[in-house]
Amino acid sequence: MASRATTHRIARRAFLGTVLAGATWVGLPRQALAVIELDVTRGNVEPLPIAIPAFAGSGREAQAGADIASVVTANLQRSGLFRPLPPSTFSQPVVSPDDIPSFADWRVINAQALVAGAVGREGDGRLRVDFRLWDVFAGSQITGQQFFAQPENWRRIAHLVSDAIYERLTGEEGYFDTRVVYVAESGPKDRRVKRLAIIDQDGANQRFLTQGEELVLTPRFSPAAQEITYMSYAGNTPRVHRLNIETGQREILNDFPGMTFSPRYAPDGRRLIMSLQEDANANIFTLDLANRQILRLTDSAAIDTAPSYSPDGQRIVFESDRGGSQQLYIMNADGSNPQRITFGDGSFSTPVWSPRGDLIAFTRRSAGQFSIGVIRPDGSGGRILTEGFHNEGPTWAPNGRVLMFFRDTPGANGGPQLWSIDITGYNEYRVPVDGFGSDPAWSPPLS
Amino acid sequence: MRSALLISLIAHVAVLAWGLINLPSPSPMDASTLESIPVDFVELSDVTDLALGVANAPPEPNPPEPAPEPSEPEPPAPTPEPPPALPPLPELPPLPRLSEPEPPAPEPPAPEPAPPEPEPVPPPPEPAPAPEPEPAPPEPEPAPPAPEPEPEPEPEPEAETAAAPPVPRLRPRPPRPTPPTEVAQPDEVPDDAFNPSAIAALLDRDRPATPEQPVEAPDQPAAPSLGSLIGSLDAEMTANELDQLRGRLARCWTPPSGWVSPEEVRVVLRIFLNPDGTLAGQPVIQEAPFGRYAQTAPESTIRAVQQCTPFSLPPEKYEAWREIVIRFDPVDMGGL
Repeated sequence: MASRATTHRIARRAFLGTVLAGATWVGLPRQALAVIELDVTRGNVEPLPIAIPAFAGSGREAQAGADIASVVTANLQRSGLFRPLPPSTFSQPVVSPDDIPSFADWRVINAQALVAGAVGREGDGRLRVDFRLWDVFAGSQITGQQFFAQPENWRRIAHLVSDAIYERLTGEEGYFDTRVVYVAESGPKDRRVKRLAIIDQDGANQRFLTQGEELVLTPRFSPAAQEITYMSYAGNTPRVHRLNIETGQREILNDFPGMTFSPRYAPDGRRLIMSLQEDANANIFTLDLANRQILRLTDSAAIDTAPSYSPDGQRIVFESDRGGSQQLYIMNADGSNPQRITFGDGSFSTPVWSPRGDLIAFTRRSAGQFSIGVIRPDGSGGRILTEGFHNEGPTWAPNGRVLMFFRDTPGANGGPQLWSIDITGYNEYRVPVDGFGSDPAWSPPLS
Repeated sequence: MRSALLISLIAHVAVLAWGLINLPSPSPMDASTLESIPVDFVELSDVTDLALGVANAPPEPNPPEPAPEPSEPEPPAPTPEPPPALPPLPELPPLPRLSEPEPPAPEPPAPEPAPPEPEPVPPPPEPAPAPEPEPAPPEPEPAPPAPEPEPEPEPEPEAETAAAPPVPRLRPRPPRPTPPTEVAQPDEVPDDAFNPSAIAALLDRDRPATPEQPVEAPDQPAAPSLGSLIGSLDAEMTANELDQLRGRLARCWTPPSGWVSPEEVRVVLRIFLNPDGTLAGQPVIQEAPFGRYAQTAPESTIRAVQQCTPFSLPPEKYEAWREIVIRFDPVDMGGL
């Protein structure tokens, strides 16, 4: 029994000893190591350096590869958010998407992203384009896609590639696979010939939709279909027309007993909203394209015109001089509760609601200068993006980041030209299209 | 009675176990909010002789005339490079010795360091007072710690500084297994020619270089010394250094454009750094925004960090900056 007691005692001691040792270990104070926390409250606004070598291809695809790369380069450069690096600095002129690039070569020129593409031809004659977007400093792929198309549509593939790169690196939706319809002007200044024309957003593939026999104004794209509406003086009465781009079919909307102008589509593409002249004033109406039902939205003694729907179709911004001068107002889609939103100097016109819904672009005339500006729907945050002799008629890119407008130059040889600007006010450039042009309207994404 | 004993035993154990499990342990003191200011107790004599950054400070302010260690591989009063056989440590330039005091003295102390080097871990903290007694004991260790010296050439300086003053050269020079490594140190002054790879070897915990010795030991400053190359757990970044780092990150970061309010692109990133300032592993996204920039905002911060590294941060404060939490929040930039 003594031995048992001893055994017990020993065992207990051992147990206690272990426990105490463990407790001691647990209870030891640890070094307090505070991790550094840094607040970085500003960054830079530099465009992202990106390397876009020619897409790989053999035979006649080699030329297509070079062309596609140059269209992509031009798109990204024009966006103002990218800085494509000069090909003379590339370690290799072509990078195949099937190889892992040697990133060190691209880090040396400080490219943050690398586009590796290839063009091939399928058995049925279609073009196949693959590309990969690489993160040079991380050494990993960001995205990769493959496209098929008829060879004559290689430009669309280049725009789709540009959209993919743009979206993946900026977080915004791309706007490169879009078109712009506008009024192309030619001839002497006192006898201009005005034709409807359509181009890719980079100015390529110009095509004429009318032949210039009648005066055409303010074309607008449908958000839902490949058709446009515009105003035409055919028959000496200004009327709203519709034109299907693909089929060429056109229709004159004779439903109104009078002059109609400033037409736009509703977001669902099934209604048109426009302004109808009644004696000395003008009011806003909608026309249902299916059943031709007409709805009056305003009934004032003033001139209410240039209506534009919000992207959700719930509200309408328009221009009115009911307050004594041309200002912008917002009302509900049924015409109720009009509220004035602009109170600054000058007269405001041509309001257009951004597809993102957060801004309204407008033209302002003040002290002999014409400006393009944006304002929030609640009337706050109004700012001017560009000002000059004549700037007018803004239209939004589908991602709500870029505006196109037209700018007239004075003088006998002057004429309107299409210009583009970012909503930050930066990156103003002339759209590279032949001849004069005015009244641009940006299409929704084609895909 | 047996049963009573048994019951008593069981009851005791039960009570103890219950106490262990249920009794609350004292809550740890919350040290996180305190801003600790590192304080070094510096001997006046050290300060008067120590240069800022220990560039040319003599090994010990007043090293007792250590008898020249003839046994040292380094010849007494040779040029500053005490151990001739230092092969491996290339970068450390010979520190100009303030040999004025006593040529032999510097030497011996230099050689001294060698021996301590071998046993860097155990003796480094050896304060001046103790060295005498130690010399012998530490000596024997050179062999085992031999492998150590390599990894911690830097700590040597500290060790030496500490060891040198007390007893320059009583140590019987044991066969220096790795004199070469120490060689760098003999100058004992943490040379300003900082060897990043040596630091990396020293502080890279992943490397199984020193299985037997805890690598932390060298971290403790052996003696009051300014500008030591040994990372100290108490080292803190100065406000200036943090500002420089912040400015550099701000120059490298391009937030995705088009945001209207800063929380659309606000990201909190945790990064881990190697001792040479490069990124160690992938940064960790602790907070990312919702919405349009949910993917591109964190990517822009990771890209910024990848482009900005390697950072040039004070290596002796590595413990302070090995892990950094960065909040990217462009409140000072105008949104749309």
